[in-house]
Order: sequence, then structure tokens, then C-alpha cells
Amino acid sequence: MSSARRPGRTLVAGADIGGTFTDVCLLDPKTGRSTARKVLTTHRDPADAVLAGLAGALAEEGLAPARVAIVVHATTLATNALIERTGARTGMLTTRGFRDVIEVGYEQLYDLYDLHLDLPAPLVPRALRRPVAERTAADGERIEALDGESADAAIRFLVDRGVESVAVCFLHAYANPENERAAADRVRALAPDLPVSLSSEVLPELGELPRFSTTVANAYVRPLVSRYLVGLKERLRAGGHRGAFTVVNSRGGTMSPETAARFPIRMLESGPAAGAHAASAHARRLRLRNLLSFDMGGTSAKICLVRNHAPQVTVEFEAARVARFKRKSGLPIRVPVVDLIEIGAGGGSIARVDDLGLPAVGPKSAGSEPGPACYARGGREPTVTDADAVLGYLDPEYFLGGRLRLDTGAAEASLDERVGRPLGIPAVEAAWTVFRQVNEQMARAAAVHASEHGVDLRRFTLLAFGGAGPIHAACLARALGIRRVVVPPDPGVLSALGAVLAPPCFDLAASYRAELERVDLDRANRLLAGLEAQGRALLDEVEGEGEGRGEAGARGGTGSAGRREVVRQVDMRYRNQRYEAPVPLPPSGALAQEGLPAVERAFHRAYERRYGRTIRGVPAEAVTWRVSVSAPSPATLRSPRRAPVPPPDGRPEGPAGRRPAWFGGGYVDTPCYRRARLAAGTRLEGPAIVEEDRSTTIIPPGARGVIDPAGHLVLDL
Amino acid sequence: MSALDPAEIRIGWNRLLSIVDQGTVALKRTAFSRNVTDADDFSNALFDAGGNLIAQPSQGEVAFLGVMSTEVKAFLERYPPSTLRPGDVLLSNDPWLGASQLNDYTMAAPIFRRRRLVGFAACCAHSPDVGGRVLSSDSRDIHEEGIIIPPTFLFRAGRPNAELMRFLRANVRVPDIVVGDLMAQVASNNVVKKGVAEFLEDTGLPDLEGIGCEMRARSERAMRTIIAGLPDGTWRGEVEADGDEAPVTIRVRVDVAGESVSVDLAGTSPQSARGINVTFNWTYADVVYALLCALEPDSPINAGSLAPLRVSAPPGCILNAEYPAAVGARVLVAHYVQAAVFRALEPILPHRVIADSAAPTWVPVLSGVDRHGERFVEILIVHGGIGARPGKDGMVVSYPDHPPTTAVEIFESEKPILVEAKELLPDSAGAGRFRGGPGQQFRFRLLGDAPLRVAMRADRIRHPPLGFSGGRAGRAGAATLNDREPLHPKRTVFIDPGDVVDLRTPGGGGYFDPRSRARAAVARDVDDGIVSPAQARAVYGHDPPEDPNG
Repeated sequence: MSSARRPGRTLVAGADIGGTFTDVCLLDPKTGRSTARKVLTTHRDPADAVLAGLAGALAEEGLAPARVAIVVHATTLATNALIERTGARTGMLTTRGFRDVIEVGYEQLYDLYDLHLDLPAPLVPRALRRPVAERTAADGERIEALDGESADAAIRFLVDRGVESVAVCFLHAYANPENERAAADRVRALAPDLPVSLSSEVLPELGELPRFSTTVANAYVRPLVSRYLVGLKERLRAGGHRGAFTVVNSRGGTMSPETAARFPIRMLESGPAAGAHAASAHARRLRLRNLLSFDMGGTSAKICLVRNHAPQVTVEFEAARVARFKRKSGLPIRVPVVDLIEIGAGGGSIARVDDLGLPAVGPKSAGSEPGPACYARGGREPTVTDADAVLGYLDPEYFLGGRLRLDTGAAEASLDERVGRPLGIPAVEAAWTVFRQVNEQMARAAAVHASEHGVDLRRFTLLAFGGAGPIHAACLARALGIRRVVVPPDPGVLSALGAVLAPPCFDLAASYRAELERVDLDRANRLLAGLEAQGRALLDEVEGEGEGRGEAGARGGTGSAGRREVVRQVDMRYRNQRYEAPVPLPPSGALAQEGLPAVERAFHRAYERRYGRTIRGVPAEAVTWRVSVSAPSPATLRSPRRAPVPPPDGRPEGPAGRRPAWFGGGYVDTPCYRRARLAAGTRLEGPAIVEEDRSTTIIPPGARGVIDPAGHLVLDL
Repeated sequence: MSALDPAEIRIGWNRLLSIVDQGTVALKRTAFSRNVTDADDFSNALFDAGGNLIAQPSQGEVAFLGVMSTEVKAFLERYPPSTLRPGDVLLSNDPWLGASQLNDYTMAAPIFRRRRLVGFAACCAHSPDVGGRVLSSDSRDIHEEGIIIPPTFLFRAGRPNAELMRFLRANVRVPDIVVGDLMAQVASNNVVKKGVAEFLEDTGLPDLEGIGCEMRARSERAMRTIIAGLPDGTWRGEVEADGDEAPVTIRVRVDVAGESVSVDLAGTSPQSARGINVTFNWTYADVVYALLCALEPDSPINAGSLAPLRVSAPPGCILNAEYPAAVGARVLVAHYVQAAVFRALEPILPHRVIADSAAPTWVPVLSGVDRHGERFVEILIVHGGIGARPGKDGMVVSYPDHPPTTAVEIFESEKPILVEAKELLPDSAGAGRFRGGPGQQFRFRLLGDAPLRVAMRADRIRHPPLGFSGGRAGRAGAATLNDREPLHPKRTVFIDPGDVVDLRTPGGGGYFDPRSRARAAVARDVDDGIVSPAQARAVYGHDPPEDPNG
């Protein structure tokens, strides 16, 4: 490792800004040693918390900022701007006759029987959506070149209205970007400082609603994100950091801050993506090809399939939903994003008995204010955390490492009042009902997700993290037929760790629709080569980050051009269908006629896996071509050098305490262990409770736990 | 397992709902026609062994959900349980049993557990073609509209009915797409069948009886509780539709008595000589949809929710048309039913109803030659505005049917058509303190060198959506050819390359007096170009007074 030559700059730092906490993680890739730190998020300037956390972690280790080779950053800044509508005043130039695409949206009620629902307001009001004379046809032919006068008038109007960012969204611009580029030139001529987002650059794919909506959202968050990133970069420099600075994108790779500033829409889900990436790193270390990542926090649970050590990626996403867990209630955003499903089931989810006389949990959450009843901050409604407390799973004295004392009596009273009495059962039975209910809800959502991907979850391992994840993991796993659960070390700061481990990576796509037999191979090859070149240029940008390009390799960091990995695929379907299956293409070389039968066979296989059958007699059709370019991660997860010596008989050091816990039928006197004191090799028999600062793991009766050499708590059910 | 506890019922219930949702996804993702893949013109659901609806998906064509409830029972009447075998698939498009239109194929697959019938997976989807003259308003009897398939086995004990397939293929213009969609329906039912089998295996339940009874009973109780909160009495509503040659009256009488609601349609116009007739199943579905929107049960809909709702219509009226009535444009009358029901309910549910909407949805049918040189038949859906809500403006959404419009870029990449505009229409929204949703312009030019058949199915050219409680009417719809001749809203025409069709859907009606609209809201609409300064002055007034009720 290069650090032997340059002992100075070896550390990789990750920072993840969440709604409540900013997590910072420092990793020495050479020794595998990592330090994590949690500080409160500073909403006025989120950079404050990043810098404070980083400084704190470095000070704790007695290290100087100059030792940090790379700072990798994940943030919900862009997402929050869309939700809270705090983005820039944005204008839109669009094809005459199509001014209302983003307002009319899906044209569907997302709740069949609710005529009183709200649709998301467009990010650009109609007044600032200016039609201009121009038109491109579906085959890319320019029917009408951009009318300069009409464009200038529209641009002047927007400038007069004080817009800070402009989106250019023309019909069929994915097929021919000329008119959009001409419009961008006009904007630059009239208002040189105004950032311009082109739909042909942000998302060159067929379908005006997702393309326009994504481009407008990009323009909307762009000034905010770019100001923030430039500011943070400057402050890092001022603070003595000399290394690279990169940003995690929504699919779990990193990109340069310059790319992030131009395409901020690509970092929308950077926090969750970093979390999923950390799960992938654990999957790699544990050599698990099929992993279900399960992150359960205060308001929701997130579930993601990790196959072959990489999170599944999708391009279908919605931001800023009006009804958080309802499809089609948000802004359609089509960018590569880690394919995770979010379920309205978290520690704060409220339980009740509905008008059917049945128990129901969520999606309404008590949040952190007033929070669950057991927080004793005025919350009267019972939550999942209240149920966990009544079942004895949480130590009232050791919640959040003892920083919050839980009022179990209040939890019991609220469960009794809102669930137990209406159902005619005692409070503890009510708690058990809520516990099972929420587990089942998550299991259903996970099962549906798995079936949409054509995978059998019984062959998966569940990786549980988040504050509430390890409490519910074993029961969730059982409901899914999963037999093994892994709880990683320090499950509370996984996203920051994921940021550290994220590789530079970019996904690019372009539409070119043709029956496979009739594909113009020259065109397809040009297109793939163009996407790859674009991707390599973006990686160059990431790797050129920091001071002294020559040091890039020596930083033990972002890898070298020779080690780049290219993955190519084409989304295919049977002609006239509308939903595609991804089909792998050879990673390099020109596609040739002789290679097409193999592509077709791969399509049939992919289709069958996803939809359970193949169709004969209908030609296969290629629709969207995708290239993903990546470089090695700056750091990988390795086992700590010196694993603690396991006790010779594998038996744990005595429990820190015992308390009654309910697993159905009655309370069982259950031993509680402090995770920090459990050496590798320690074996635990369920029922048992393992506690740590920000999380608790429940080992139910019949399950066994073991601490593996890397410090994972592994449960066999 | 004998009695289920509440937690088990809830868990089982959620699981059955999610199984049905998986069936929806399977159908949409594997179908071939834009009716299904983009316009979502289909639904699927789960029924018990007696043909009672027990679970419907979270998304679907609502009227199909309503009609399948009766149709699965009709299948059972013809094919009692003793005649059914595992692997059977029944198919029908008989409008008097099903969705009131030949293009809507209902398919039901019996689900067996240990050789015993435990339920049905069923789905109904709009097929692009069913032979005949192409879906239109202008047929004079059902036989002009295509072939009728009475309940027939598409699969018998797992074996496809090859004769029926050949017969179908020979009768339609786009056989690959029609058959591709049918196979997607089969696949969807298979997903539900598999899900139910796994559910029974995991829970150890012998069948769906116990859980189904609980689900129905609880949904029924919830619905009855809501109805019991309404005052008893009789309320009436009436609306007038353009009709074909003469206006059509739709008359509704709603009786609330204790825990039940009955809706009777006596006094509605007699059936028409043209294709705007509605069979009773569809009328039932649309009335029930209006009631469910107004009553807003917070519970999943199933046969129990529907039990307290009764609907009747005299035989021979346009909402209970008798054989051999043509029904190809049934929505042009059926979609007025909601407006009539809401009018009747306004006195007792003033916060739940909305002003008149652009409904009926405009659904012209286009057929011609696509960019690959192949024939196509496809519906073009253009939505207008829904009525203002008491408290919110209207919006542009598909209602009361569920299909969205196919994306313009997809439409243009497949058809030799250039869309010149798809945009909201200024001043089309009915004025009010809360205004209606605006209508839309959809304007297209035919390219290529082949003529295009346009079967118009539109309404509210002469009857704009009316406002409620002092709100104004939205603007009526208009359809023209080459900006000169009006296009008859219910006739089929052939247009030539270069011709331009301009469709302008109606705007929804307003709610409350427009002069009480918040000044800022009027100013915003003017700035957005949704309301012209002239309309702002003339209709909203210069200085709208503040509304004391907020």
C-alpha cells in the first residue's frame, strides 16, 4: 500500500447529513481501523456539522486534517429542498403547445376513492413555463429550428422575473439535442450567469413527463447544491484538508463536486445509497451473494436487495411525495438510484385500532416530537417503540446509551387505551400484536419487492441496521423464510461508512429503439462508445480531485484509469410491450451481428426470470442502452488486524443484567449483554438481548447468535 | 385453525391485498396494448369460492372492479364448482354479464386447494380490438360492434383452447396484440393463484372462507356505520347529457334508510338507437363508485362494503339497456351518473361531493397504419378538468375512469401522427371560490400516406359541467377538423394525411360564488394564464370580498 511511502495522507473520511444527525466516519484502509462520530445536524449551514464532526473525529484520534486523503460526502440537501420547496426560483423553456406537461403529471388519482386529494404542485409555476417555437420529431428530425426571437423573448421574461435557474425541456430532445443546445446558447448570451439544465443532458430518454420533471427538479436544486458544495470545499481547504472531495450519488457511487453541482438530481438519494453501499461492503466481506439490507429507523423502514455485492439499481423514483408512501403522489424523477423500498413502519409509527376493529400500524409517525409515549414528552399515542418497550426489548435505563430514560408505564398505558381495550386484550398482548403487525407489514413489502425482481428471499441473509432494525430483524426474517440475520458493528452510522467505501461510479443511458434483428449496429456502437467516453471523462473529474493530480494514485485512493470497470446493458422487451428487462452486453468491443443471438437468448432468460415466461413469435426490441463506468473504491472493509481472543469455551462473559421479555405466551427471564464486551467467538442462545449505544438486538427463543471475527453479530434462526 | 384473532385477520387481509397488487403489476408489465401498458384500462381482483369479492387492488379501473363482482357469479351460474378443474380459465366479453362493452374481456381462473375450489382470480382488461366496426358510438346494434364470447374456457385443465384462439385471431385486426394482452391476463391470474396457494400453505388455513367472511363482515360493518350517520330520507338529482340525436336525462333517487342506501334510476331516458347505451352492470359500478367516493370508507372495498348499497334501474332505460342495444360508447352516458348522484347527496354530504366534472372522459378510437407499416387500433384518451372540491380547486385527472393519457413522445414514436398541442385551456375552468380543473387542448396532424379512422366518443359539447352552490359552469367541449368543420362527437370519420384534429375537453364546474375567491388566487391564475384578465374582471370581480367562512 502506498501509505508506506507517504505515511501522511492515508485516511478516508465519510460524512452523511441526515435530518437529525450528521454522521462522520474515519477509516484507515491500511489497518481497517475506523472511528465514527455522531453530531447534531446544523440546518442553517449543514457544512458546520460536517466540519465539526470531522474535526472531532480527527482530534479524538490525534490526527491532523492533512492526513485525510479523501472526504466523501452524502447529503439529503437536494431531497429536502424538493420536499420543503426551498430551491431556486426556476424558469422553464419548453416546446410551444406543451407548457403543462409537469403540471398535468400522471393525470391519475393515486387514491382511487379520494376526490379530495392533493397533487404535488409543479416546481415551476405556469407563468414561468415559457413556450418557444421549435419542434423535433420522434425520429430526431428537426421539423422547426429554434426560433431565436421567441426564445429571446421568453428568456428576457424569465430574467425580468428574477429566475435563478433555467430548465430547457423540448419534445424529443433525447433524439436530437440541437434545439435545446441552441436555446442554452441564447440563455448564455442573454444571461451568462444563469445555470441551464437541458433535458437532453440530464435525462436523454424517451417520455416527456419523467424527462421534463427530472430536468426541472435538477434546475430547481442546482443553485442551492452548487453553492453548498463550493462552500464546503473551500472550508475544507481552509481547515487544512489537502485531499480529494467527492460526493455520493443516488446509486451509491461517487462523483466530483463539479458533476454534482451540474447534475444535483443525481445525488437525491445519496444518504440511503451510501447505506446500501455499506450493506454491500458487508456482503462482500461476508462473501454473501444474496443479502437483504434492512434499515429501520424512527419513521420508516428501508429494504434493499443486494446481489453479488452490489445494491440493485432502478431508474424509477419519485421525490417529495404528497402522500409519503403512495405511488404516483410525488414528482417523477428518472435517475439511477439504489432500488430501495420505503415502508411506513418505524419506531415512531403509531398503532391504533381502526374502524374495522383491527389493529393497524403506521404510516403516521409520532416523529421525535412528541415521539413515542415512552419518551414522556407528551406523546399519547402508542408506537412501535412503545410496544418494544412493553415487551421488555428495550432497557428503559439504557436507551440511546442512557441519554433518554424510557417511561415504560406510559407506553403500557397508551397501548392499553388505544389497542388493548378496543381489542379486549391486556396491554402486553396489545404490544405483541403491534410487534407482529409491523413485522408482517415489512415482510409483505419485502416479499412484493422480491417477487417483482424474481428472487427467492429464502436464499437471502438479512443485514439489519438502524436504531430499530436489529430488534425486529429476527421476526421479520422468520416471516420471510430467511434463516440468517447479521447485525454489523456500529449499525447506527452505516451510511457514513458506506460513503467511505463508495467507488467512483457513473451510470449513463440513451434511448435508441429498434428490433434486435434490425438494430443499426454502427449507431448502437457509436452510442455505447459515446456513453462510455462520457463516463470516463466524469471519472477523470473525480480522480482529478484534490491537490496534485500525480498524487491521485498514491493517495491509496481513487484508483487508476487502467482499473476501470465498464458494464454495459440494454433494456429490452417484446415488441409493443412497455416494460423492459435489463439484458447484459459484453463489457467491451463493438457489437457485431454474430453477437446478437446471444443477446437475444440473454433477453429471454432475463424476461423469464422477471415475468415467469417467455413469448414466442414476437420480436425482441432494444429500447434504452446503458453504460456504467466505475473505478475501485478508495477503501474496502477488512477485518480488524487483531480480533479479540474468543473465550475458550465460546461462552459469553456473564450478562450485564436480566429482565423479563415477552415472546408470546408469557414473560421469559432473559439475559442482556453489552455488545462491546462480547468477544469474537462468543455464542449466545436465544432468548437473549444484546445492547449497544444506539441499537438493540433481539435473539428470540430458538435462535442462536455468534460474534464472528469481524465483529458481526450473526443470528441463526 | 378455528377462530382468527384480530392480528391474524389483519395480517391475512394485508397479505391478500398485496397478492392482488402483484397481479396488477404482472398484467401491466407483460401486456402489449397501450390501453393496458399506459392507459391502465384494466383491473384484477380476488373472489371467494362463491364469487364474492374479497380483495381488490390499490389501483385499477374502478368500474371494472364493480362489474367483476357480478360477472364472476355469472360464470359460476354457467359453470358450477363441480364442473371446474384446476388449470381452467374462463373468458367472456358479453356486455350483459360483464363490462358493458365487447372490448372488455373478463377472465376468471378458479383457485383450488387440495382439489377443492377455494376462490377465483379474475381480471378485466380493455382489448384494442374485438372485430366488428371498431369501437365507436354509431353502431345500431351490438353485432355491428364485434363478436360476443359467452363464458367459454380459454384454458381447460391447463390446456389452451386452440380453436377459440384461432377464431379470435381470425376476427381481429391486431391479433398479436389482442392475444398478447390475453396472455398477460392469464399471467396476472397465475400470480394471484400462486400467491393464494402460498398464503394458505403458510397460514394452514383450509380455504378463504374464514378470513373472507371476517373481511367482508368488517368492511360491511364499517360501511353501515358511516351510512347510519346520515339522515334518513330521500334525495333526488338529475342531469342532462348531450345524447346522440336528442339529449338524455339521467334521474337519480337516493334513499337513505338506517344503515342502507338505495339508488334508483327510474325516470332516466329510454335506451338509444345508437351506441351510447349502458348495461346494468356498468351502471351499478358507476353508481357504487360515486357512493364510495362520497361516503369515503377508510376500509378496503370488498363484497361487504357493497352489501348495504342497492342500485336499480328500469329495464329498457338507457342505464339498463336490453339486447341488442349497441353499447360501444357507454361511458358517454354512464359517466354522468356520478354528477347525478353528487347532486342528490349534496344536501347531506356537502363536504364530500364535487361539482360537475368533464366526465364523460373523451376516448376517441384511432385506427390506421403505424410507423412500422402495421395496422393499429388504439384509444386516445383526453382528460378534462374535474369539478371544484368544496375547499380546493379542481385538477386534471382521469375521472371517473382511471386511465391516463399515453405520453406524446411514445404516441408519436409509434403512430404517424404529430401532436401540435397538449395543453391546458385558459378560461375553460368553471369559476368559483374554488374553480374547476381546466380543460385541455389535444391537437394533432396526420402524417404518412394512409388515411386514419377516427371514431369519436365525446360529450358535453352542449352540456358543460355545471357549478355547485353558486359556482359557474366550466366551458363545454369542442372538436373540429382542420379548424373549420365541427367533428360530430359520436360519429366515425376518415381523415387524410395533412388533416388536423383539434379536441378541446371541458373544464370542471366551480364551487361557491366566484366573487368570494381569494384575491391572491385570482391574481395567480391570471399570472399563470389560466384565467384571462377579462374573465377575472367580469366573473371574479375586481375586489373579491373576503369569505367569512375562510
